[in-house]
Amino acid sequence: MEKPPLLSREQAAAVREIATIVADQAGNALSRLLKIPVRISTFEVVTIGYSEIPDMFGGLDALAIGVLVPFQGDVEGNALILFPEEGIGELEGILLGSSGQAETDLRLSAFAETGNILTGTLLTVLSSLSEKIVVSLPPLLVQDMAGAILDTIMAEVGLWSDEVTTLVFQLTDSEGTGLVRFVLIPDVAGIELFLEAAGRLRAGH
Amino acid sequence: MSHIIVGIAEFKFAEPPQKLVTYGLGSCVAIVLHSKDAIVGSMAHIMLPVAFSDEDNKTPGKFADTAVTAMVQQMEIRGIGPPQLIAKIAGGADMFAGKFKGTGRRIGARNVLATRKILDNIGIRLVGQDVGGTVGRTVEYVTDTGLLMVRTLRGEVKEL
Repeated sequence: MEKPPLLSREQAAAVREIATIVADQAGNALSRLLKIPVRISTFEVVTIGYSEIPDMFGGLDALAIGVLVPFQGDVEGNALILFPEEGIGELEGILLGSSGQAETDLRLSAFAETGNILTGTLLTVLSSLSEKIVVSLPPLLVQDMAGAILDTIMAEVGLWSDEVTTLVFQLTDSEGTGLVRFVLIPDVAGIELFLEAAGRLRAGH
Repeated sequence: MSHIIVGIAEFKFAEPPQKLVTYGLGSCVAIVLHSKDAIVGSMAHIMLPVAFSDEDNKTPGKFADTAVTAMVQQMEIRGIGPPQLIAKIAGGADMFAGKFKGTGRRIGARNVLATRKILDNIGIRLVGQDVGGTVGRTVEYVTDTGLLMVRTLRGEVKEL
């Protein structure tokens, strides 16, 4: 018998509610950075067991880029954004205007900046709703096997649960054509912040 | 030759001609126990150093201490005791090169330490290891020979 789910169905719905707001705002922020209209949409909140993780990322040893954004203040924790291999080339094309041609440092800094915008928007929304002071720290970036990158967050969450909560986003163009899929994984402190923000949102604060 | 995949927080037993494979180790550690005499072995993909509660014992493959204990029990059922086993380990990386400050900081090193400690306590010789660093690893264990192949995304291959 495994540990109980990290989130109940109601809690997952609450996290999805917050994610809707974040997706909308982050899409606008990313459009300003890229100077082209893009949207973040078609997201889902999925709590998955360890056995389901490989399928989500095309295999544990598939190439991925991870942007880990630590945050501190009234709450300290981390959020990891993972860009699976399938979308790396596409996102590079959007960010840098070409696919696979840029120097590694430039490529990685473009992903870091994107991750920073997404998590910055997320933390601003969560901070505002929960009325807690939360500040993001400089992002940590790594390019390696998806499973290896995930280990850092999974070790944190693994102390509490046998599951990982993932927020799956999709970057689309202005007409809604899917461009890049990416996954945000908060640690336990991040999930708690989500739930507190959602609770206050539903209570009308 | 059949490959058996060992998932996160799992442990599995195999005999020739089977191979055991586990993918994408970061801070996690692959632990292989091999019997030269019986030519069988097992592999675990552990996430954390030690179990905290009885509830954790329900997923023994997740922790170094409970995984090794369960693997040894699995061998003892087949009449193979710790003195007849050798161990090889791989993984335990620090993917963010010391910059990660959360609860899971240095978890890779702690996983390796806990693994060495439980092996030592049980009396199993650790004969090969590729641990630490800042890169992910995929490992494949060949039951026929006891060979452990460690691969990285950069194409590096080590044989233990």
